[in-house]
Amino acid sequence: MSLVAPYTVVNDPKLHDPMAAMIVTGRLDFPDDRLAGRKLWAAVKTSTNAHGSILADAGTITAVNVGNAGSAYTSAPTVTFTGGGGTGASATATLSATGTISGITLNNAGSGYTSAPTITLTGGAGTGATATVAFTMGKLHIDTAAALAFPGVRGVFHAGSFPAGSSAAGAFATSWTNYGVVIAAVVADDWETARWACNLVNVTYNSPLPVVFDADAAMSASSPLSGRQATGNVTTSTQTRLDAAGNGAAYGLAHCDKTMQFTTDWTPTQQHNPIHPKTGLAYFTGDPGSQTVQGTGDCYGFSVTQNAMSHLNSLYSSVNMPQQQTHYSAHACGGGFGDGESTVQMSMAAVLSQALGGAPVVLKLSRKDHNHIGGRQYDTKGVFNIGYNKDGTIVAWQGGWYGNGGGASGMWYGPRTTYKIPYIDWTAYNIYTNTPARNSWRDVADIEGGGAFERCFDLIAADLGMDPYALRQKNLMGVLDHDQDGTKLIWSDKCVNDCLAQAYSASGYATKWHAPNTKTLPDGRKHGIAIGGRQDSHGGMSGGGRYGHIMMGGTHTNGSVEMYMGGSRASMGPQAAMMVVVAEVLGLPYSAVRLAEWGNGDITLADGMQNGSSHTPGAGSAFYMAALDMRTRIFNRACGLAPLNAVVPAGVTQAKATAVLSTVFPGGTIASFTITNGGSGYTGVPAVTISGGGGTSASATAHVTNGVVDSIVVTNPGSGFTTVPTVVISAVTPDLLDAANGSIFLKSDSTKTVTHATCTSGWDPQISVAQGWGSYLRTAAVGDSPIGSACNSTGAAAACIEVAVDTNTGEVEILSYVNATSTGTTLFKPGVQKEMMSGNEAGIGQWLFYGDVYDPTTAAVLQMSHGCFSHPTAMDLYPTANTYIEVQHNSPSGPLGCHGMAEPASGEGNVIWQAIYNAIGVFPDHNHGAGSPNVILKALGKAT
Amino acid sequence: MNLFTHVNATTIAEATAATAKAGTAPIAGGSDLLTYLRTMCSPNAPTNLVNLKTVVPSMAYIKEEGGFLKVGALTTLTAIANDSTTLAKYTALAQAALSVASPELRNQGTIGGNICQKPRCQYFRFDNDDFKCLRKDPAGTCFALTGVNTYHSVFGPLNGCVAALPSDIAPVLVAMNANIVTTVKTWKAADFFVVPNVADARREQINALAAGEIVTEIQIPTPATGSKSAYMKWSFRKSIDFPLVSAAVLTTVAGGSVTAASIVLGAVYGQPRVATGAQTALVGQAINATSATAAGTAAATGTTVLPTPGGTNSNSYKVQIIKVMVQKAVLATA
Ligand SMILES: Cc1cc2nc3c(=O)[nH]c(=O)nc-3n(C[C@H](O)[C@H](O)[C@H](O)COP(=O)(O)OP(=O)(O)OC[C@H]3O[C@@H](n4cnc5c(N)ncnc54)[C@H](O)[C@@H]3O)c2cc1C
Repeated sequence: MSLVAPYTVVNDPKLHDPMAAMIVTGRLDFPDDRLAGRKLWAAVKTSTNAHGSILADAGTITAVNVGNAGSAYTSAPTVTFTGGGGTGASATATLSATGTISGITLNNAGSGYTSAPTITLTGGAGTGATATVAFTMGKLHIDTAAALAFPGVRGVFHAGSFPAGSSAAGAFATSWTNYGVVIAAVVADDWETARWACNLVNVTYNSPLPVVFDADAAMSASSPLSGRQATGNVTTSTQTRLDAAGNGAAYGLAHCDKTMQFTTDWTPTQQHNPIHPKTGLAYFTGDPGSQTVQGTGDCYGFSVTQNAMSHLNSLYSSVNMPQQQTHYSAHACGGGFGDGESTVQMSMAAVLSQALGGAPVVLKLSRKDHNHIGGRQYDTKGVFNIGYNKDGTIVAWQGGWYGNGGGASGMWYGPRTTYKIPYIDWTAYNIYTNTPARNSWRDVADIEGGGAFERCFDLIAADLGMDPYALRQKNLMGVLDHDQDGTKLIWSDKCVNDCLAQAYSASGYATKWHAPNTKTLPDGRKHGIAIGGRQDSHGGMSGGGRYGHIMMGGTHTNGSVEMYMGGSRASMGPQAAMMVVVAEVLGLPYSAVRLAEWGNGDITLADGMQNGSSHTPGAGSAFYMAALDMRTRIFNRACGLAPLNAVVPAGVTQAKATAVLSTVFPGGTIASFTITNGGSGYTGVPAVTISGGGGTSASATAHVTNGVVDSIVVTNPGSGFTTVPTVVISAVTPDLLDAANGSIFLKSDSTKTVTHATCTSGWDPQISVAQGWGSYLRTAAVGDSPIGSACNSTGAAAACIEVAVDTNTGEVEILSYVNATSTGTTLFKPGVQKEMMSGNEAGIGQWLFYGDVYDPTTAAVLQMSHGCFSHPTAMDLYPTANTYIEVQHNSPSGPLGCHGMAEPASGEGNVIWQAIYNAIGVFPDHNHGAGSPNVILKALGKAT
Repeated sequence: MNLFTHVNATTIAEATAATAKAGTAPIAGGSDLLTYLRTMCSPNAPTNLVNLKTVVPSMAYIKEEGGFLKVGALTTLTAIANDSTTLAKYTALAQAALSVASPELRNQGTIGGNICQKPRCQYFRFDNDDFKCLRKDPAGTCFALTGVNTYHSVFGPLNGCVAALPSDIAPVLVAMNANIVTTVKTWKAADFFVVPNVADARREQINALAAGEIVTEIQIPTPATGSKSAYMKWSFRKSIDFPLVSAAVLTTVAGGSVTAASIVLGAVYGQPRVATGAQTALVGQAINATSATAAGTAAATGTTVLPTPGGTNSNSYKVQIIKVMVQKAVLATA
């Protein structure tokens, strides 16, 4: 493996600080003996209607506090209270001599407030002043007595259990706009008891408002409000693409040969994180404090995530603790169709633990709760007016992208970045109904944008009597074309063109394609074939579970490195590949790399892997980067050890410094260093070794400018120094070293070696946590875009799918499914192949079997697209029908030529729908539901 | 999970005595019962379970004896599907057993449990008893009647409930005129699959078993000479799925024409539905595409498509599928 990476490692320095709060470990069960036999378990009580609030006695406004004092006020602004359900509160602002607000006096606390009202300050000629209300919540009508009396229950908590306005109170809903939001939590000796006792918590609801269920109806002016937005049920955003003269889609539509209107159906919704809910754990050592008074102890939390940083943030903010007293461990997982994340679980566990004096609490959601709280994908439709020429050139595209639950603008990513469309005028309509909270799953490989725009292309092709593949080719952006809208230069690797070409040839499309509804198979079924593909919105990110985390030193004194990794339970392949990467970067034998975790991102029982956005076994840059960081650290340490510390390379004058001890009580520590000779000729950062003086643990880092050591920073002042210690600044620097087979040696004289074992002995634990490359800088020049320039780095995929449709039963058989996905340089072939296999499973599952189904009156999730037995598995693949093509190329955006596969590995399931269209000549209408045979029968007029 | 106690019964007498106690139910493979308990979906859930798998002598066997195929209630669906005698002579039963769920569930699930499973309506099964449905509480409502009913009955409500029969085995037993032997009596399958009224404490059952009554054996009469049986199941997925429409057919042919036909539909009504019109249409005919199509059309008469709220898909497809499944099953007995 080449270690030459022509790019700069850009990482958050905090992640490299061994004292940093975050330690991404990967133990599913927290590896701490202190918890043995002491864990308590929590379950949640959730709302059973979509739109309601808990009956509450009126609360009290106790004070009004100035947030921002503002400036330039010439007179006191008027204080207005809104919301909160009450009336009559009034307050007066007082002005300072400098034109700021010095205080606000509460004149009348008003009455009937069930939640804190919001405050606005108007007038007075100044700007920027803000204020908040201190509010004591009235008694919520939640009866916890029966649950508390149940044997084994240790506590029952809800918003009223915590100070009004605290983050703990905010974790529990008192009013809601969805089914299944968390109202209360029960902590008990075991989870089943906690879960059972949740049924004993009695909540008195206010009468629910009407549920807004239908996305079309929600858009009408007379629709009841879902309450999901401050005003109305719809938000919009727009995108236009104009020519140099400022002409937009209207102009394009007037200047093309033909136009066509499209209204696509509402697609199904799908789960985002469908696999079984994971637990979150938290506990405290020492004083846990409270929501209002910070504790002096330490808070420890554990969760499953693909985004450790955000989980760490939510941990310390949920318990009102400083970050340095908050310790977080994560089991890394993927997102997408992969594992369930457990942020909610961990931060709520922390709140409960704090309330119980710091006892370890594990919170686990039931599958029902997970289904309602976990992310879902929206159902979508498109209403378009597309202008094109007779030769198939798309000229203008006007219209609306509709997303029930938000994220509609994400849908337009695919056509915008894959095809040349000179004139665009798009509006995204984000519609908010009371069906459970949605996340977008963007446009990728999926029911959303892909389902909408690919079918338009097929319909335009049919109108022109053209082969749909030829139509796509006509409009594809060239590989070296510039991004049509963004500030970035061209794509790092616009590989969709290649994916389409490979899917086209591997499938035999050229000889198999026919006009829609024109081919019947000998057994009477209709034959259909279609092709589609697009550049994905992501895929640059990569690495095992997004974060690569490795550890050396500490208890690992034998030169070994420990690796923490999420991935796939079903296969150890990616882990093995990453271990190889880590071993080779650090120059260790493979046996010296230990894996501290297995993964959890499998989408299926048999095929493993998840095809979410983050876990991309093809690349693994996060581990590569973590290993590079560790390599620098251990090389730096080696520089300070014999025999390397005695070597003075040619051209280097060794720097010298002395330590200055602290005079501040209690003393015995190093305060600073005095450089007596900055030396010269340094090509890297030398080691600073501190010895003698009777003290321990001191450490320091040198800084080099133009080959001269110009400062030495104390990284650990140590303790116990009675005399000034000796300081040695090495002449050798890490860049002069290399490593192989457990030894670090001087490149110019390989007899000068220090073993990794020597380096790690007595070394403080070193943790390198790195993210996969996320800022896309070119590592190779492409077109007119030089090395180091910014570029879009994304995945890409195409599929060609052939089906047989039984028009008597609506059943669809996949005759062939070619999934061609861009993999950059494949590092781990079986992993990449399995990722694509999962993509085909997901594609088939989404497009032929089940979508999410909601109850129209409560918006409860009645059926999951991927829950329980509806989860697509390897048994759903037609084994002989699938072809997986790694479209390999040397990605110029990442080292080793790798990039993430991203979600296109999901197999472009919408192409199944297009193939059905090619078979029967009509696009079936999902009507928000599954793409199952019943809706195909409906399209054929055999069901209503 | 509902909280429960669990005992291993060593004899059928012990099991009978234990299940006689209120709030007690037998557990066989547990593939239905445990999912039901885990969701805590019903206020009527048992609080004591009596394990039948430990009963000696074992109730897991298949044998031909005295003009019957005798299948012990604890026999797994895998064993039935793999049994060569069953496949050759009682074909519909083997086919139905093979069609259930997935290999893992067939290894675990028993024939006794299959014919005693609870309804599969999404409202009935919803966690924490959030939907107070009629099958659980006589004062409740049938939510599916006005809510999501894509998978439900096309022959109207049964005792006010529109849940469709979930069992693959039940229609076969009715079609083949099986006996169901219990600790109390021997039932005819057609009498066994009578769903108690919602006022009855047994309202959750898909059969008329008395409280504490345990199924011990299924007896299927050896079909007459010239008979053939077939089971056809339609669901969204082939890999693992409950039936949405199924047809069990047993025909006897003499002299080139059908002398007796038994055609029973599953998953289209609350209990197995004997398609009498289809039977009549077939008797006297040779089995061919025309007679099979006529039988299918007759089987699909008298259907009622449930009203569908906006944004959900209707159950009307079942009418079309009944026609095709009956047609295919009839042809398979040719
Ligand atoms: C994902 C999934 C898919 C499924 N798919 C199908 C399908 O396609 N088709 C289908 O028919 N079923 C299906 N089932 C239901 C179930 O798995 C099978 O019906 C199975 O045969 C049940 O048998 P069991 O032994 O596991 O029953 P258990 O779960 O042990 O018992 C089921 C019920 O029967 C009672 N019972 C069990 N044995 C006796 C007895 N001897 N006498 C009296 N009462 C008894 C129990 O008290 C309980 O109420 C599915 C289940 C799951 C979880």
